[in-house]
Amino acid sequence: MRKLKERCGAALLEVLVSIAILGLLALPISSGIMVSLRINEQSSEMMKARLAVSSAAETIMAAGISSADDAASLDLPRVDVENPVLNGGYWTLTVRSEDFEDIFVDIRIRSNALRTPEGGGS
Amino acid sequence: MKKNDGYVIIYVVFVIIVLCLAAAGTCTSALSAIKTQNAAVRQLQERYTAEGNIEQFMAQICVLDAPLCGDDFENEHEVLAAAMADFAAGVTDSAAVNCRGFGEWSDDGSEYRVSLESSYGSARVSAEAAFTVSIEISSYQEGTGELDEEGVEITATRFAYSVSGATSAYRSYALEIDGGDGQ
Repeated sequence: MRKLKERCGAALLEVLVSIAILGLLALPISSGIMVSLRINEQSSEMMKARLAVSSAAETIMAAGISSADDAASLDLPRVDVENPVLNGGYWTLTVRSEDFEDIFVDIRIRSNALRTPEGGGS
Repeated sequence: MKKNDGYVIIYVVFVIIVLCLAAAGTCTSALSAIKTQNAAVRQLQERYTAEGNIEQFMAQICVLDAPLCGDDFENEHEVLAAAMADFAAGVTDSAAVNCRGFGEWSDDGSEYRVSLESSYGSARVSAEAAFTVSIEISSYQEGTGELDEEGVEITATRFAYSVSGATSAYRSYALEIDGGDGQ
């Protein structure tokens, strides 16, 4: 019988081991890639949320606040105005994004009663 | 001799290396995006904290819990400027605002202007605040301790000044953000 001196191709065992290793490593790598792509997609939404919060804060600081009802009635897109409290002449409140809770700013603003009517804005 | 033993594993290793490089690239991009977003939100919060310091300072000056009074002077503006500067020094410590020296009254005496500066993190706010102050002046007679020829104590007219109300406005306002590295 002719002894087979050379063997072409791969042994089944080699293929099985290779597939197992590839599967073990490819799964987490692919998951990482998918998460990264999702994060990149979410970044644009976070930027829009940040701009909405900034715009709302600027609107509040320019317009001013006379009362807690005044603050609660503000209808600003994509943000919530939370906890308006009057502290001896100035209001403290939080402007928070509706879509991302971690995007918020705490602002302090003089009460409208303490603003000089002519050019009294910020 | 089995020449091809173990060659498949080498190809597998190549594929894994390529996948790892691709994953590293996308993960680095995602991490950079997260860091940039966090830095942007932090800068936004620092900016409004610095601006809030100025607003709080101006509000506390305007509320004027204790009336600013002075007597024995004829120029109410000097008295009030000094008293307001003292008041501002006490308020400044609590509001983290630098009040650059004493303020100045406008020529017609209707406004008291103070230069303010507040820094927080990478944000710096510089503003010139103008306080419109309503001053009530009252006079009273005070004995000097000296007697006239008839033995009656000589009195002198003194003036008491009190602030009945104050409002504020900005005459100039500048915001600076130090360029962060976004990390």
